[in-house]
Amino acid sequence: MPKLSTLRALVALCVLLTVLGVDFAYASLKGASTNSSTVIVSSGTWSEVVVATPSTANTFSAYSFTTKGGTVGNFMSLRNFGTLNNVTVTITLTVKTTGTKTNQLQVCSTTWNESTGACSSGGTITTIMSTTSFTSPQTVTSYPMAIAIGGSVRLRVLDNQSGYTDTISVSLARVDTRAATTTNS
Amino acid sequence: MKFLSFFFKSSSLVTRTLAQVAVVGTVGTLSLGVMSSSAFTSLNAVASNPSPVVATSGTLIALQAHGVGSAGFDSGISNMTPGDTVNRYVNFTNSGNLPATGLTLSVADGTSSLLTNLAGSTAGDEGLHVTVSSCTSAWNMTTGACDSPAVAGPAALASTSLYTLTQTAGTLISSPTAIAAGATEYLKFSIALPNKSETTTNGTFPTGTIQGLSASLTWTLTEVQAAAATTNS
Repeated sequence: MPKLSTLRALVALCVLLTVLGVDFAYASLKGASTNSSTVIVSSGTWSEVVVATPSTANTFSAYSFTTKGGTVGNFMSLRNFGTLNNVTVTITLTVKTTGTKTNQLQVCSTTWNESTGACSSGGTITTIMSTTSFTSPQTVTSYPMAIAIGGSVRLRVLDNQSGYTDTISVSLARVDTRAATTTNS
Repeated sequence: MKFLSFFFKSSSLVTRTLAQVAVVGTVGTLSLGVMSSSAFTSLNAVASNPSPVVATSGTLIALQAHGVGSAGFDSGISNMTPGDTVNRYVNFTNSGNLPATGLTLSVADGTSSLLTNLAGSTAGDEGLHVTVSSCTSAWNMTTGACDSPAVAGPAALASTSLYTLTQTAGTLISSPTAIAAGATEYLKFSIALPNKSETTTNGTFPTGTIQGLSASLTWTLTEVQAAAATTNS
């Protein structure tokens, strides 16, 4: 409890200030508005993986396979698991560094006949890269291969020798997806 | 007086005492009488205004609504990619009858992701940013231009990370620039995800990825009353 003398001094001060007409601080008005419901802003993803079939789930790993040799080859799918279409892709092929292996990573412009190794309906086979046991691993960067969201491209690896484990790895950078956009909505 | 002196000069102590008390009492009574007669009934005169004077207080009301043809803050933005900008148009109205000033913008994120947790504005800062500009009339939704007429409004905020706006409100209109009662500010919010190089390998996102994130945003526009005034009228 303050001293009586202190209280008296405070009362005297208040009286003095009132007489002098000093303004005391006042509460100011404030108006605020918010959006009626929250706005969800989300970012997209760019993700491609080589998997066994077009319907195989994301394995989050490189794809390893045992080479069949011959002229038919091994087939696999490069699948888009992201929420953005891509336009290019970087692929790395690692082959067993033994003997005189040669490998070709190929794509067909139509569809593969996976029994005969043919590119159906007069399609064209394009070799993405060729690798030997002496040049492995080999990488092709930003190879033009547009794959829509959820879509896939069937690839073939033609290996001159069978029974070896090869690995194919895929990476996708921001620049491999669509260009940036400015939209009004 | 001879009569009174008889009592004061009496040989009896009792008599003299009684006489003294009598004198004191008499003097006291006379004094009271004099004092009483000084408390008199005063006259009062009262004057009042013939009819009541009505005094009212003003209102300060802030409203926001989506601009014509724009989703404003009524719908979300999906699949943003580094480098993308999405423009949304919001009209802010000082809807009360008082002038205002000091318009500010703050943001809250109910999800709290890296989209709003990254501060700064330089390389390495990839969180969402917003730039605010204003027009004196509704924006051209097709071109995103202020062209009818091409006169910019007073509200502006340079590119600011949403992280910063979750910590400190950004000023769109500084005090004491006035926002008149009933005035509307036509605002353009340019929401951007800064460009960034990021690589996904075999479907695995890098550490600290900006991909696949979601922010749940509440945008708050706040104004304060204009300076109080003393007037003679």
